[in-house]
Amino acid sequence: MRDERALVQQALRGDEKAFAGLVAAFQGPVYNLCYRLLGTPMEAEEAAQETFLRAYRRLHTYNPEQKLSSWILAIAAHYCIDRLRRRRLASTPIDEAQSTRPEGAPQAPEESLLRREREREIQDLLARLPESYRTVIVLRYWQDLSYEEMAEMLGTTESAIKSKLHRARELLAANMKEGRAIPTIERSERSVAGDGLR
Amino acid sequence: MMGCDDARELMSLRLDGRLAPAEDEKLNRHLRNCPACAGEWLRWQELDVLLRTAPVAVPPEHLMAGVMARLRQQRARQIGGGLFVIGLQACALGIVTLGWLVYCLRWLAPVVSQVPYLVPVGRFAVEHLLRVLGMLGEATGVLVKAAVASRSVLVALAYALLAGSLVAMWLWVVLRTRRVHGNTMEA
Repeated sequence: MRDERALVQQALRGDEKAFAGLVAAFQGPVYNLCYRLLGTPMEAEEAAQETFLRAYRRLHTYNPEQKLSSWILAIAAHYCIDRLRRRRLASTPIDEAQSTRPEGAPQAPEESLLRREREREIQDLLARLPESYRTVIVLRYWQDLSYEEMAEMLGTTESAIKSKLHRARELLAANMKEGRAIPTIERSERSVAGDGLR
Repeated sequence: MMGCDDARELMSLRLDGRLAPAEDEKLNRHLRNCPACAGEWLRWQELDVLLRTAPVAVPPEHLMAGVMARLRQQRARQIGGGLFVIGLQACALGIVTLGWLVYCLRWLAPVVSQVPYLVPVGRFAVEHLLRVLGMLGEATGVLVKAAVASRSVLVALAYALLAGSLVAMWLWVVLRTRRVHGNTMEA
C-alpha cells in the first residue's frame, strides 16, 4: 500500500516509470474485469488501456484513504458499463486458443477442450445478464470484493448490491436450467458455502 | 413459515458467507420441506462452483507497452495543441507585419530601381515584384484610409476580425476534441 502511494506521488510529478509500475501492478485485475464484462480479448485490451489513461488523467483526484485497486477498478467498471450501454453488446463467444490465456499449467488436449467449453459457457451466461447484474457478478467472483466495497465502487447501497447479486444468480441459474450444458460438478465441490441438505 | 422468495434471498447470502446462524437454520428447514427450492439450491451451488473455478483472464504481454504509447501520444497532443495556439498567434502577427511591410515597400521601389550592381534581369524581376507588392500596399492603404475615414467601416472591420478569431478558436477546439474522441472510440 505504501509502495502504491509512493508510485502515485511520483506519477503525479510526471515520473513515467512510476506510472508504468502502477500499470504493471493492476493490469491483471483490470484486464480480467474488462474481459468478463465485454466478452472479447480485443475489446478487453482496448478498455484496459483506456482505463489506465483515464486513471492517469484523474490521478490528482485519487483519495489516498481509498484502496487504489478499488479506485482503478471503478474506472474500469464504469467505462465498460458505458461501453456496453452504448453499443448494446450481445454475447460474443470468446476467441479460440491464443488470445486470452487462462492461468495454470499446460494441460492435455482433452482438458484444454473441456476448459474452453466451460469458458464459453461462462461467457455465454454472463452475456445474457443486464450490464448492472453482470458487473456485480464479475466483481464478486473475479475480484472477490465485499458488498461494501462493491457499493462504494459503484456508488450505490449495500442492499442494492445484495438485491442485484440475488437477481443475477436467479437469472444465471434459470439460463443454466434451460440446458446450456456445463460439465458435471463433483459432489464434493458442492459444499463450498455450506450444504443445507442431508 | 418462510416463503420461497425469502429462501432464495437467503441462499444468495449463504453463498457469500453472509448468513447469520439463525437464518441459516431457517433456510435449512425450508429446503428440507420444499423440493423446488432444494433443486434450485443445487443449481445455485453448481453455478457458484462454476464461477469460482473459472480461469482468470491473463492480459496480453503488449498491454503495458500499448498503455505507455497512448500516454505519450496524449501528452504530445496536449503539447501540440499549445503549439497550435502559439502558431495561430504568430501567423496573425506575421500577417499584420507583412501587410505593414507591403505598404512600406511602395516607397522602396524607386530606390531599388536605381541600384547599379543588380543584374538587369534580376533588377527587372525585383522591380516588377515591388510594383505588384506596391499595388497591394496601395489597395491596403486605400482600405485603411476608408476605414479610418468612416467609423462604421472601422467598426465593421473590427467585428469581422473578432468573428474571424472566434471561428478560428472554435475550429481548433472542434478539431482537438474530434482527435481525442476519435482515439477513445477506436476499437
